[in-house]
Amino acid sequence: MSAGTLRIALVGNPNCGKTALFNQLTGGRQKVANYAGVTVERKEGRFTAPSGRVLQLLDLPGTYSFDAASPDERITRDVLEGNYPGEAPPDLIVCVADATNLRLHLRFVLEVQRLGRPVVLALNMMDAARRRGIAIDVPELSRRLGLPVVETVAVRREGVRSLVAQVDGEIPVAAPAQPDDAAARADLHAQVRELLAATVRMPRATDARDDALDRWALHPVCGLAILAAVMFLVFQAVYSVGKPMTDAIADGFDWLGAQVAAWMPAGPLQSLVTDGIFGGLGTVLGFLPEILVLFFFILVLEESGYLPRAAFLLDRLMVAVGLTGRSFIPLLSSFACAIPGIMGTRSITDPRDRLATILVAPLMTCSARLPVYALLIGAFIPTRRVLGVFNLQGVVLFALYAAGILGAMAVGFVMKRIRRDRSEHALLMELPSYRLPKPRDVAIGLWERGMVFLKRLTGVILALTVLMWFISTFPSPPAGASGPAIEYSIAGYMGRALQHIFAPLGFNWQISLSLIPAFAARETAVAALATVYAVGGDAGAGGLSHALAANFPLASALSLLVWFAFAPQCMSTLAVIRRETASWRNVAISFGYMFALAYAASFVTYQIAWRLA
Amino acid sequence: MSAGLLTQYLVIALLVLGSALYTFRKLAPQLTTRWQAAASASLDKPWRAPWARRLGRRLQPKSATGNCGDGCGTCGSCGPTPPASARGNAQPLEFRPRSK
Repeated sequence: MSAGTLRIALVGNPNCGKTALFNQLTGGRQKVANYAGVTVERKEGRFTAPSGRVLQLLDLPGTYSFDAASPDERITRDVLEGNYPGEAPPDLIVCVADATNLRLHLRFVLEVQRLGRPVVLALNMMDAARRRGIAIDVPELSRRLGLPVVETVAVRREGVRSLVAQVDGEIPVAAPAQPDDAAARADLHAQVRELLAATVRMPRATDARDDALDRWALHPVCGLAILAAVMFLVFQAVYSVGKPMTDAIADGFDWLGAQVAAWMPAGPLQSLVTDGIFGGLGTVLGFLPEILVLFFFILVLEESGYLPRAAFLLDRLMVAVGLTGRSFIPLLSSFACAIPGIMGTRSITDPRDRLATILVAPLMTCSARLPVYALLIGAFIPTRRVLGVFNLQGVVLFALYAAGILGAMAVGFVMKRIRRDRSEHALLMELPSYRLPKPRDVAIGLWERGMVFLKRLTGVILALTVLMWFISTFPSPPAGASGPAIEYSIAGYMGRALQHIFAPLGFNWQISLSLIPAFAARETAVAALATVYAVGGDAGAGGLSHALAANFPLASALSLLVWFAFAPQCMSTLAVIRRETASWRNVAISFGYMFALAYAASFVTYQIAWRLA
Repeated sequence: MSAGLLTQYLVIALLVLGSALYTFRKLAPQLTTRWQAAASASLDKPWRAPWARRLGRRLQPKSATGNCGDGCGTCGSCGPTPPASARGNAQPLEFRPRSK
């Protein structure tokens, strides 16, 4: 133990509230949600106890036992056993257990106790346990286990006081280490049954409200219909709620750009500010409300406990296409960004299923693609009602998200057909209790998401926009040039060179050029298009949407939408695939198949749409 | 060329240079860190002038960069790259087609 600093590890079964406890104690903002497998790596934080002692807290991935099956579980085992490189074993282990499900969680507590290290048991979610009428004889449980037991409610500030008081005091004496063999583990179940019989009284094994809701949510027909309806309504809401705010921001930026242009002297700097920064960045910023609306619904679904039900419902379908129900949560995370989605696959036990999920995760529509979709849909798809209720633009957006999902299923199916091992693995996952999302958690999630977007906007997107403006402006046209100045710029030459590759997809040189910065960050395609059209003088008063509608046929717009649905992902995603699979070959497979898929799908879309038009 | 226009071009040159460096840093963090470390090492030699040595020390990379958050940042939870010794035990995930 380092002088004055106590190292505490938070461990327990998945979804018992370790990260919520970690956030409450350290003031951190690590992601929490109501399903297993949110934390897939070791997180560290510090807090100062009332005595002035500095406590170092480790939040470890949840695990059901030390028979580690998946990469995230191995981290927990290695840290606790002192085998994690560069990491000393913790001075104290706080074993967190869900008080509503001690039948499952106490087994791991007994397993941790066998390590022979000081342990404190935190009975978390005690509020939910009391509500369900579960009575726990805490002093008796503590006596029988031979370790301190405290009650906690991790989502409330006052709910962790007893734990803080416990860890701030004397470190409990460790039980002697015991051998970890099969016979000893079989004995654990018997011990749990004894402990429960002596210390816990439960009116019923499950929550009556959960059972009532699950009768509908897990029904093979009604459940799927509910899932489809929920997802459809989310995308409708993105347009119905987000679009008016997006339009307001765009108008505001147009006005601001005009004010700045009037104030600045004419010259290249004025062009950079108005055409590049206000034209490019302003257009991207306008899509923030739509992104936030989408994330609002994702956060609510995450908090509610509905997502594992969706995974359960889709398991049969997922297995049929070469994936697994366990793939659902990482794939859903990929709607935010493929990177956490790919990292989330660490909770998948089977390496084959894990790789399949990693390779298809980038086909899920990440939030960076939303500005591109919203721009093109706004420019080309009329605002019309379908069946008198639905917004046509929302229907198209839903179709694009569905195209990504169907593409992932098709790729998974092909991989299943060509791979050597075709065996299937049963899905075994815990269904958490339903919970009403806490407005504060949702608000913090939205705030974080908004900040991440603004950080990207003022970082890499701003830098790329400045570069795009530069190559669209310089060099100046030669003396006697008759065409628009931009055609003689670096951007003009690069765009025309790229157009040879993308002309069969209906892309003009401006679109072809915008695909380059999109490889760094997808949203930059919007900023690049806005800058190129503004510098070229084609943007006009109506902004980028009008410029696109005037310069671009519908067939090309549909082709571009399809391109972005399947196109090779950004560089960061490729880097994470390399890191998580330790193989450049997988990076090449991922990039290659997505390029081929996007090219083929865009080509077919363009040719069909062009002929129909 | 007027002084005002010259100033505008200077500002633009600085902005473009800064943007290029920033983008390069974001897209190739490990490569740029290596270059930075090499530049720092070559400047911070005993026979260099004091100002060059100070610059070399200032250029020294503070820590290894290049985790998965670079260039994207939407996840915000990537965390540090695990130590090499830990990664050494990991088996690469490989796709095995039936024909093999």
